[in-house]
Amino acid sequence: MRKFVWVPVVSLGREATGQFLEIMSEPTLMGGINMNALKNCGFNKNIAHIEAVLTQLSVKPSSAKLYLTGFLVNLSNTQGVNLGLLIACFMQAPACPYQKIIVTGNLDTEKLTVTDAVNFEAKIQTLLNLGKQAEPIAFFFPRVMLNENNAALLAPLAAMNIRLKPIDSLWDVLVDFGLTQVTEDA
Amino acid sequence: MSTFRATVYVPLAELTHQNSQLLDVYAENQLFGETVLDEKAMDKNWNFVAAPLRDAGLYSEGLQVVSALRKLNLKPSFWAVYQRVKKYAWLDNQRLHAGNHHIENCEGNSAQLGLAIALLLNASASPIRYAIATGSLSLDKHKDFDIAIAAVANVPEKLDLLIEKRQANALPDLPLYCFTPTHYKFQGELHPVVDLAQVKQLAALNITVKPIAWLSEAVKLLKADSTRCLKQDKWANGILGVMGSVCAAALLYRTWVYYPIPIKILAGKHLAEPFLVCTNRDNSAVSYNDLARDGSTPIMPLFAAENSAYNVGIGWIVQPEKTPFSQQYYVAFIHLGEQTGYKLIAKQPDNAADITVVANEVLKWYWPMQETAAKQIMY
Repeated sequence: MRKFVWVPVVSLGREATGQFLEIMSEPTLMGGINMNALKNCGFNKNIAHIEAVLTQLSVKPSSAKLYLTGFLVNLSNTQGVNLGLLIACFMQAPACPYQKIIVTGNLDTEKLTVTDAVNFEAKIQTLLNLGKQAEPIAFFFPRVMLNENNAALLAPLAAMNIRLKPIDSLWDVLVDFGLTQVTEDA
Repeated sequence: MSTFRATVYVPLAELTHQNSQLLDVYAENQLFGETVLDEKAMDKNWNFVAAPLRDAGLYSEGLQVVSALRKLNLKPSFWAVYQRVKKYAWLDNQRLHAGNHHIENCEGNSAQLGLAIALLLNASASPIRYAIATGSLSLDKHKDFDIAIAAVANVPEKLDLLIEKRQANALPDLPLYCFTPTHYKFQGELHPVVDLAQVKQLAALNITVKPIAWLSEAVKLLKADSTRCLKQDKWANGILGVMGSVCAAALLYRTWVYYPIPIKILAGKHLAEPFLVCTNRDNSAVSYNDLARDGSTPIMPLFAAENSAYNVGIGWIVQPEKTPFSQQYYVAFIHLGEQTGYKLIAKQPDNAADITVVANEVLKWYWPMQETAAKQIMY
């Protein structure tokens, strides 16, 4: 099944703010994670980071091929893409209940913790611009952003069928995807 | 390179009508390495499909178009075997080109829709060879198998340019579709394209303006929802054809060799001594067991391979514990007719039909036999 990860981006060098990077994941029979189609789109460094993380993880994702079906060139900051790319690798897990998710947050590629999200308010505004969704979409964001300042911003998302999923680390996402055997020392 | 080419004209215009020009973009099917540019693109980590657009300053637009088009769910044609394995071969095998123009003076991404349609026309079996398009692919709206078309600026000026070019016979003298977004930007606001006076003027000039919100609408109009066969498909079909021919020939040969041979079970007229011939499936082990009564001379066993080129076995699998043979054997009773020569003679049960036997295989028909029953069933 074709699955999507949307990464809201606002720090654009050229275009107007408030759009999504769209990563598409399609299952394959074998071959692990294939990110060849993502290369040469301005995210080669991110891909290298993700590949390094994947080789060190004991939890291996199901075979899938990733595509960037919607992206913008000349992004001034691509740090937030790391988490989206890494989660996209695990979207084809058999027990993963989501067909579309939205992800934001900076990933520490050594500790796999999700620290914060740059321009969080602007990204929430991007989500609000989506309007009400016909099907529920999970929104993974750093738990540290769940504070009083952002509470009012986040509140309308539930009414738009966007389910809030605050996370501390990548493991929270993997457990949510049904990879229940995951432990932090894995 | 292919000889098949579909051209899409992209009007580029500014409010001042300066630098207005008609950019023609087209896509061609190419195998990797057919041009020097492919090698350069590999060295530089460029996208192969969009790499030829670098000279025209449209590389980043082409790159985004190529990525976005993967969302479309184009069906491969029936004979496109290769594309059933390589799902996006219809896209990855194309190279985008942009005429001989250099458009660095023109800003924006309104060529994206034209590039997308050029790729679709080349990939599909659409009968339409020429189209006009202006618009950009949007990341604001999402569908799993579709791409939204976003508004662009200067649409009235672009339509004016088309009128001018049509009247100057600079466009193909054919009915043409002009794809645009449903709205255009003007002074920060969106206005519907369909309300423009130029739409009617162009209709009079045989150019139909089609405002679209999603790319699938253009796909439907252009009849570009299925891909055509690539060179690789033809090669794959050829290889599969040869393999199929070999398999069919082998099947025919096997059918010819193993065709069933009808055998009549004749009633024995002459007294003969029974002789037990046991053979396993591949005739690698043959044993003879004399069943003759005391005092008689065993006849020569009829070994079918020496006589009729067919090994005929009749009987059932002898249970190992009941025989001295360690393997399972098929048991046959062979009689030698004095007048008719070598014959397979057995007593046919009353309810049994004529028996057929397949060459090199064992006859399936059998009758139960006790060790002491040989005398009873043999003539």
